Amino acid sequence: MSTKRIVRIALLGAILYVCKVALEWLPNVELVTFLIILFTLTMGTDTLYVAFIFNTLELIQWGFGTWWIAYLYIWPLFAVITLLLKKILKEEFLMWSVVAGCFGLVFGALCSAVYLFIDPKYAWTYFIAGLPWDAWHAISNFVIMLIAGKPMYKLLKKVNTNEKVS
Amino acid sequence: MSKKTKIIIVGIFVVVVLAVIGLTAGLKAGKKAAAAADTPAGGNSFTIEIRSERDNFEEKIECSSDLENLGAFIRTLDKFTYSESEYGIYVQGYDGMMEDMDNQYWWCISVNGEMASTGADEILLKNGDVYSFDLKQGW
Repeated sequence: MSTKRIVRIALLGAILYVCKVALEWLPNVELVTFLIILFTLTMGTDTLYVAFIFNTLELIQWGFGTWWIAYLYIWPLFAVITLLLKKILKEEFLMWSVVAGCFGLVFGALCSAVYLFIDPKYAWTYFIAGLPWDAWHAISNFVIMLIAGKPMYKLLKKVNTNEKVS
Repeated sequence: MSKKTKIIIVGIFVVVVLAVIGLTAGLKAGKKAAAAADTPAGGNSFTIEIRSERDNFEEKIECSSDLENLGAFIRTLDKFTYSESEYGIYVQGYDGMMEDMDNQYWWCISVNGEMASTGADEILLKNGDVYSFDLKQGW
C-alpha cells in the first residue's frame, strides 16, 4: 500500500468521524451512511479500512459497548452492499438515495442483532422500540443523498482523478 | 434503468417507510388503549417507595392517579427534584436528598422490584404496581 493511499484512508476516516460528531446532537441524522456510500463508489474496497478507522475512533471516544460490536459489521456491510450494487445503479443518485434510505431503515434491526445472542426478547423489544427512529433515519438518509449525493460524488471523483494524474 | 423502474422502486421505498411509521403509530395507540382499558374508574392505585441508605431514609406512599405515566405523576409531587432532558424527566433528588455524581450516587427507578429500562415518562402507571426510587452508589 502506497503512502498516499494510507494517508488518504486515514484522512477520510477522520473526516467520517468528525462528520459523525458534528451531527451527534441531531438524533438519527448522520452523514456516515452518505459518506460510506460515496467513498465506496469512488474508492472501492479502501472504504473498509476507512470504516475500521472510524470504528476505532468511536471506540476511543465512547468506550466499549454492545453498540460497538454492531458498528463492526454494519458499516463494512453497507460498503460491501454498495460495491455489489455499484455495477447495477452506477451513477443513479435517486436510486442511491433509496439505498441510503434502506440502510437507515434496517440500521435498528442490524443493531438489535447483537442482542439476539444475549436475550432474543430484548433484541425484539429493542428493534420495535427503535422503529420510529429507523423511519426518521431512512428519511434523513434519503434526503441527504438526494440533495448532496451527486455533487459530492463528482467532487470526490475529481479529487481521485487529480490524485492519479499527479 | 428506465424511468418507470425508478418510480416503482422509489414508490416501494416510500410505502415501506410509511408502513413503518403507521405500524409504530398503531403500536403506540394500541399500548395506550390497553393501558386505558386497565385503568379503573377514578384512576390507578399504586405505591411509591423512596429509599436512601446514604441518608438513612425510607418512605412508602400510597397513591392514586389517572395520569398516564410515572413521569407525569412525579411532576405533580413537590418533594421530587428533577430536570427535563431530551429523553424526558430525569430524577435528581427527593426531599433534599440529591444525587452526587462525584461519589457515584444516582437515583434508580424500579417497577415491581425490577430495574426500569426506560425513563419515568415511558413507565405507564398501572393499578397495584410498586414504583421504587433507590439512591444507589456505583455504576
